Amino acid sequence: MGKKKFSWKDTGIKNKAFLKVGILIIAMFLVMVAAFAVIFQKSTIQEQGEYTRKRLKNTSEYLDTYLNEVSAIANETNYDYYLQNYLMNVKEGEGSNIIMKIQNYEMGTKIFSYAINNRTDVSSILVFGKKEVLLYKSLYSYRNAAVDYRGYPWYKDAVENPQKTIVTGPQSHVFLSGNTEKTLSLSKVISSSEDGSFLGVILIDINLNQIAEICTSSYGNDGSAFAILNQEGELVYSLQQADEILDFQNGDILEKLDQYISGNNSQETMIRLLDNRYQLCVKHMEDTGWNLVSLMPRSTILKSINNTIKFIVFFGTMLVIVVCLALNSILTQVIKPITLLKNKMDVAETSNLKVRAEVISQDEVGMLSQSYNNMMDRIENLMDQVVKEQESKRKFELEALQAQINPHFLYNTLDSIIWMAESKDNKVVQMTEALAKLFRIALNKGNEFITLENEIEHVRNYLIIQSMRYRNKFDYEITVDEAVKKCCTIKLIIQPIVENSIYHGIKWKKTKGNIKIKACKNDGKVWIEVIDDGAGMSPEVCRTILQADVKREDITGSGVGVRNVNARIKLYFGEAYGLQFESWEGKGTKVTICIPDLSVKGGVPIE
Amino acid sequence: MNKKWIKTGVLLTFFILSGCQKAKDFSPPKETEETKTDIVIGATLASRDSPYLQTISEYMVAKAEEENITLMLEYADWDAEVQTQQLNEFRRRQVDAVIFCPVNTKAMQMPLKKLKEAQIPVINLNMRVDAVSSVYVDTYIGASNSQEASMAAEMVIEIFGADGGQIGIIEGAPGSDAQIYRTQTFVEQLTAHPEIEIVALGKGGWDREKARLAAWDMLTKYPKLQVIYCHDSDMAMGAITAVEDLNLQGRVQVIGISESEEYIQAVQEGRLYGFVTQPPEYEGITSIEKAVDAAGGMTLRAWYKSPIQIVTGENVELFIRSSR
Repeated sequence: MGKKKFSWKDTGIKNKAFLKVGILIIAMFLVMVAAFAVIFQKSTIQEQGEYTRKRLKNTSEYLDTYLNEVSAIANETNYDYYLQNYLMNVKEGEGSNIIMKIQNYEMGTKIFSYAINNRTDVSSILVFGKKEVLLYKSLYSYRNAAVDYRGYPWYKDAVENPQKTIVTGPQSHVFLSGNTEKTLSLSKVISSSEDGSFLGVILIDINLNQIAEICTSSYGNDGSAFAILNQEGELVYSLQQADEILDFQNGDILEKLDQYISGNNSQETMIRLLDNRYQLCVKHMEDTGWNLVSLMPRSTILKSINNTIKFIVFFGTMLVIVVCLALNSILTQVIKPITLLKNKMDVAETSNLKVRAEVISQDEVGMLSQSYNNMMDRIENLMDQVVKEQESKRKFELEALQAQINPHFLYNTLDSIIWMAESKDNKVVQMTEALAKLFRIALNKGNEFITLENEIEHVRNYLIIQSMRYRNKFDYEITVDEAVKKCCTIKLIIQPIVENSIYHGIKWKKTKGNIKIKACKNDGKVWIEVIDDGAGMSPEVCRTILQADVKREDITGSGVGVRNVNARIKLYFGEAYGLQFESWEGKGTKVTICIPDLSVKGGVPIE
Repeated sequence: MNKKWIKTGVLLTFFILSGCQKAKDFSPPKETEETKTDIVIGATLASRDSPYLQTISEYMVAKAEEENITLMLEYADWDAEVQTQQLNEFRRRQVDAVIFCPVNTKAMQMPLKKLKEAQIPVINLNMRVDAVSSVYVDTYIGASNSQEASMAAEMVIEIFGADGGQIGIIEGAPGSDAQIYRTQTFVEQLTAHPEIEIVALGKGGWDREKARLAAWDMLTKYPKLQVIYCHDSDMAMGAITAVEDLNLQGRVQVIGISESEEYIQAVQEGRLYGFVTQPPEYEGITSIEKAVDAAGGMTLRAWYKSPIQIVTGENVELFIRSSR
């Protein structure tokens, strides 16, 4: 079903879903067909059984009606004035009037002649007395042999049950010559209407014409075999319609049927006869003792079902194919935006971060695309930010380094050294050493990170130089807790602030100034305070001193602003850290540097 | 908890069982047939207007009282539909036996078949159903139409004597056994008497007025007509009216079949020459007797034939005396 068009790698989900749903649909279809076949087969056999039972019931009713109709002829003898008179005449013997006797005979046998001439089924009507035949109307001649008919069932049973019409046969009577076909016989006692005394037994022979007609018309042509068996299990009549013709003349079959019939009378059953399976249905007729037997080959019952099932399988297969094709296209449609998104992602991953997924719909895939786009936007922003930050860092670092090698400061310091050397001042060594140390620490092998101890050392050297240059202008005091000495910081953050204190605070003071530097650890952070008692600042200046957009005209000295320090701290350590200014005009300024408590190893901070 | 359930169960079982007991009590009483007091017999007669059937029913009621049985007596008013319903109702009520005098001979086949299936014995009274329907009835109580016709023929032969003469027949509605055999046998019997000539056949339709008109036609057409044989005495009374209207009293004799007070009186007055009758007493009483027998499981023979007799001016007084 077109599976080969797609490679597993490209459309994995689709193919998996397709395979699973496909298998599910086919399995359901197979289960449905199987269940349908079983249920339908069962119900069809059952329905066929019910139908056959109904039909047998109808047939038995028709047969009953027919036999009643024939037995009405026998019954009528009880009411026929002339026949009764004739039989009485015969009974009385020689004494009766011969003319009357003839007249009574003529009149009395009229209905018999009528029945034989007009009916297709009645072949003989005979009346038997106790010793001899009293009258007969027949297509065949009566063989007047000395036959003791009183032993025959038709006579014996009739005499024993004077109320009933006895049905016997099939048989051919020995006393009717020329009658080769087997006939059924209805016999009944004729009793006198005067006193109820026995007058004779009437025997009506019927052929199977009417029975055949009833059975054929009510039984139809449906591929089943139908038979009428009498009380003794002998075949009365059979109708052959089965594809596999059952020979009811076969004694074995009759015997087997007889067994089934005597065992089970009401419900239809499946039986096996001559290697074929048949549905057997039996209807017992009370009046005659006959059993109507219907044998429907199982294959005939199931023929129509098999066709139906074939059709369903064909139709279902077509349906499954259509469903699978539809499923394929649905899955393709579902997968399509995901594939597109994936392709975009591939592009983004390998080359172009600017690529964005198209948001086609508002479903899960649409939302996924949107989220992806948002994520990509954010990544892009972050990358921009990182680039910018790196640029800033480099810029500020460069600025800071430039500040350290400020030519003015270097010139002034070297001038001081020359001057001190000329005047043989012995402090020249100390100053030169301080300058050398200052630059060594400032450069720090190109590393941005430095221990606080070194940073303090750098400031100390700076202060040594400045205090020599501005002799007696200020005193300084450095207090560093042991705990913070090994802490990590970025370089050149304290010196610019001290420089600020000297040039903007102490320089303008008439008296000798004081600069205090403290470093301690508190709240998991490292605090470095630079306190001077210089000129101080107005609150406005103090507020705006760290704002980037304020151009301060009066920046002097090394030219490296405190903003550089603040910006660098924030860039390296985050927004939570930086500088704080407190100032009291005319009284001094306190600058607090806040950095995280980190240690340094190999020039890189570690937590 | 468990005990409660057991109690409920026991109570429920008790109620169900007592319910069953009650249901049994309601079923129709059938078992005690020895006392005869519980026997219920349903009877439907063709009409309450027929004097003859009326008399039969009186005997039936009297006999039922004597036998101490319940008799449900219905009349069908010559309506086959009504009679079918009555027979079905008897079957529904599961009576012990059914006596019925049919509205017509062929219309009752289905209800009779159903009664037979329900194994309720059926006694066919007075008018015999057709041959096929008669397979479903247990017995017929009634006269032989042929025998009646045969006796009517004897009466006619007696009237004419050796001289012979002309005779007319007024038949009942065609199709019934009575109409067929009362003519057929009558004609058959007269074949031995060529001196008697049947010249006219009129349609009386079991109706007095129609019979009068038929007789009028006959008498005017055949002035020599000496005897009119009517299929029943009611039509004979109509024929007598025609005879009297034409002032032919004494010259034309009328005979009929079946009896009633009116006809007997007519015989006494000499207006009606005579009639053949089966006594209603026999049919009324025998029907109840046989119904009781059948309800008791006794097998009945096919026909209980009503005795027939001729009533003429000669024996009418004796007849009156014997029947009272």
